[in-house]
Amino acid sequence: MRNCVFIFVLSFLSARSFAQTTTISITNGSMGATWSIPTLSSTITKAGKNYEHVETSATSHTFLKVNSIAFWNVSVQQTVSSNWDSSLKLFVRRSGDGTGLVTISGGTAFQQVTTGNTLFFSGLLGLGFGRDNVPIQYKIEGLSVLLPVKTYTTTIVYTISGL
Amino acid sequence: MRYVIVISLLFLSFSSLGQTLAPNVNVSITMPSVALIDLLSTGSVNPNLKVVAPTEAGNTVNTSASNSDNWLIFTSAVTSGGSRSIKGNVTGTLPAGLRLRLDISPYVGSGAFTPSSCFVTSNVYLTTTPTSFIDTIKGAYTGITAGSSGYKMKYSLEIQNYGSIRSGSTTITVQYTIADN
Repeated sequence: MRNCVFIFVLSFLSARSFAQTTTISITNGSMGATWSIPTLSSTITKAGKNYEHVETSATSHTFLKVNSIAFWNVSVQQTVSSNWDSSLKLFVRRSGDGTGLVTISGGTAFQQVTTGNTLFFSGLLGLGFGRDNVPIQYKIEGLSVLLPVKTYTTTIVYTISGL
Repeated sequence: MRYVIVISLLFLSFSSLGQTLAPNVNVSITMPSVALIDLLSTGSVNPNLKVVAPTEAGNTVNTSASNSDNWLIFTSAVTSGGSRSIKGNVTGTLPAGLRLRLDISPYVGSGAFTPSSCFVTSNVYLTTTPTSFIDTIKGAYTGITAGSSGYKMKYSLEIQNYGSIRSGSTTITVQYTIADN
């Protein structure tokens, strides 16, 4: 009986320990946790035209750090409020592999971020190690003078799942 | 059997605890106000309108000449409750007895407009007082191709007071502005 209790407690503690190692975080602080465009990178200089450009962040705007025991999936989604317009299309891509021994795959092409949780990139064989400094780039399409003049805000949420 | 239960609990613990939310990335973009207006021409930007003298005694002068070479184009971005108007006015002095008429054709082109906006007054007389002829402009862009984008503008002269008409040549300037309401 005492052996069984011991195994159970050990298993539970091990589970908690493993679970805590499946984490994701932004390692470049507030710089990486905010992408603000107070002034568009290109203005309309000729009457009759609409915006023709796409706003793109720095190639390595956000650095993600991922830790896992064995395998993991990073998903991405957008939370919107009335302060966002659906004609503004937000994209995200992984612009590099970062550093670390874990294999990493997917997410290198821009994919649109929606309100649905969508797989972004994955990793395998963590063995307690992770991937650090995984660079993330963003872009916004759909700029138009038809959008009312104001500041639009939204939030990108990364979720990690795995073991 | 007990070991199977323990392993199952272990697996369930992984499943329930193996998800972590990351710090969020907050994105913001500010769309600025835009107000641009321009004229395109398929001919001369400076129309020359002539009043033709009659060839037979007793007839009136002929003011049928007109010019439709110019097209008005614009881009506008406003706040959700804001709007603009386009006004035209003359600088200089119109010839005595005559008035300058402006006819504005309906929009053509591949631009886009906020619904329920850009209402056109089909004709106005241009004076030294700015007169509005496109109203409730919200978010809009007309396109930039002369002859196929924007609002075609037709200038013509009308007799206002026949007795005041004198022979001669007058140059005036018509000025267009887009401004907040």
